[in-house]
Amino acid sequence: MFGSFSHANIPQEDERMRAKAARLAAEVAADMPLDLRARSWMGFDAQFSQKLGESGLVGLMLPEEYGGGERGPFARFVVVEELLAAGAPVAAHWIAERQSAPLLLKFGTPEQCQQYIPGICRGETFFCIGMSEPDVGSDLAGVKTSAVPTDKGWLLNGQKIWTTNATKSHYMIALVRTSGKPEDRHKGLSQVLVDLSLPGVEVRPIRDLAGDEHFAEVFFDNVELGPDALIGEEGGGWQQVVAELAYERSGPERIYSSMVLLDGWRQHLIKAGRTDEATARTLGSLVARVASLRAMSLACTAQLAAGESPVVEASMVKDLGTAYEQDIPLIVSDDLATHPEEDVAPELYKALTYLEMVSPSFSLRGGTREILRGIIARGMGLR
Amino acid sequence: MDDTGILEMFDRMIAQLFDSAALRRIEDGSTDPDIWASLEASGFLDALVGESDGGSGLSFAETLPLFIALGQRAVPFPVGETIIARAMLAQAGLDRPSGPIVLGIPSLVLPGAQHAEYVLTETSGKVELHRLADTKNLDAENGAPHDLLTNKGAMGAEEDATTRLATSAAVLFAALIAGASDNVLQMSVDYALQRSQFGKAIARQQILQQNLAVAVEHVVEARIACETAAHHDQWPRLTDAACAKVATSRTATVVTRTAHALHGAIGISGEYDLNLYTRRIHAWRLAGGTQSYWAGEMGKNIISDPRPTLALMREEMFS
Repeated sequence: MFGSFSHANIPQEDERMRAKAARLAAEVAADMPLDLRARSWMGFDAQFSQKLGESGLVGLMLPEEYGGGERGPFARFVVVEELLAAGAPVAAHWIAERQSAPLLLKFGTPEQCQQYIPGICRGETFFCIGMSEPDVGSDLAGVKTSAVPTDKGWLLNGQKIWTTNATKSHYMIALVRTSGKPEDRHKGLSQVLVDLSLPGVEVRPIRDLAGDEHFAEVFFDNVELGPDALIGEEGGGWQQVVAELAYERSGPERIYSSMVLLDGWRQHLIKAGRTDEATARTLGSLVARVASLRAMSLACTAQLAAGESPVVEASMVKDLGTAYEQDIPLIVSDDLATHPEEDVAPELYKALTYLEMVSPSFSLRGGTREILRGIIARGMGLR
Repeated sequence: MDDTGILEMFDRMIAQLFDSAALRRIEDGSTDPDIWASLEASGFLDALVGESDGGSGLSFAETLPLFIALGQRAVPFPVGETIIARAMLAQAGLDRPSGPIVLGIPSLVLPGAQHAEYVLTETSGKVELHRLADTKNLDAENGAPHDLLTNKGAMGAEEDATTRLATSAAVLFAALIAGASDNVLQMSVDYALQRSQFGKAIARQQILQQNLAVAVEHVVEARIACETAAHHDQWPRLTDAACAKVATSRTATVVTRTAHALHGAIGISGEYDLNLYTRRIHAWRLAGGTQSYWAGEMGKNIISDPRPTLALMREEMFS
């Protein structure tokens, strides 16, 4: 089954991107304790994103015309895996590069692309995504935030919630109702680009279970948007959001969120001088598993490179990959708790407890397991 | 001929030789001797033998699809084993007698050994072919020649996971699991779409869709892990074998459980073909060691390695 989803090698010219990415990742990670590196996806470091941008490592898949690298998915894979495995802070530019820019390219006007994408590629312009609302999570057709047409553009009112990085982003692309009523469901929804510095926008951070404040509530009180705030077609928001989620879901990078902990644990084993059979088995299993996940990720990347949209295959990688990311803290904590005689570095313990708490989110962001398995079942012809 | 052409030819041949009726005759102990003769006449047994030695000169990566096809058809003879053994014999400049060969690795079971005439062993890099004198001692069900093959004194088999014999056997058994699992999953999907309960096909039930989705993830992972393990030009290495066997051992468990749960009572009946595949998946999982054995072997190798995991796996498994 899915026979065309198969082993692929990284082309030499893309492999050449690795050294630069690895060097920058090592530089930034050198000053970061393990528990901070474990936050990689959530680590917001505007300076580092800018440095990556200067080095030509942001926007690798975006057109040169707008400052991108115009390279393929393999180049991006190489850079992304080096950043994530080292625990480099990628959050600042992550969403803009992966979702907002491709969305603008596909549905936006040339003027909109020219205005926003070069900044994204420089690692200077940061975006967040306004989808969820109170009582509206996965059921996006129920959004109540509205943008009403006026003489000067649009008048925005309502509220978004769980918006990642809203406190530090410059812009939000929000799904809002522009016509019809809530009963019309997905008809009458549109995407608008909101400058978060406008009067009437209020962003309140939400503290998460680990004490971090990466997501937020965003309130809109009579925010005046220009006519060019609309992205794509009025009423076409639903189709555009579906396409946007596909960018998020077809990414092959959903296997590395706990690599920092795995490496920290391996260093601990060396320091403790452990070479026994049971530990070897635990270690071998963890490394073998990530190897076959990487093989699947590369297979998925090859499909992206061939111009396909491997949503089903990427869902497989993500479902298995996030299970692996979630297993690492459990397996490592089980191992360390079995060896109370060993000294555990405080930063290793902190990274461990952080990942134990936050890892359930790995299989939430970008689509829950149940949603992914539904996509896969459809791909198998079961629904 | 291109790779797909070779695979299609091979698959057509084994589909004919090993249809369900033939598989059942073989399991009942009434093997048609013409089957092996046809395999030998086809030339496929020398797929991995270099062209200068009269073989097809395929690489291990190019031969992998044949191994997967053997699993898909639940082939009970040691065909893949013989393909590997003949290539090793040729490389060592030794004769290649006709007849099925099994690989002499330490193993709880050696599937197909009850049909074999020879066993190939490897000691300190040197391979040797031994005649299997009395195959009647072997358990016809699972071919467990435990005493015969793991008796190191008698056979000279080394208990060493790094031998070419051990690593290629592991990738072969992994490929057989990948192939058979793919078929078992396809049977399950077909059954779910056709079997109706409470007025609709059981495939319409969301919980069943979710279970099959999980199963296909593992089936695809198994195949891709094998492809990556086999992608070098040379024989697979320890890390390749471990990666393939760890992935496929997990797949074996997930897919056999899911398929049997879905089929219900009919899947437990001997007459229904599902068991032809699931029985072999279990045996191939054990053959040459399950995930625990290979995880342990690989773990021993890397436990003191200071390289970060990404660099380590790139250099050991993807280069």
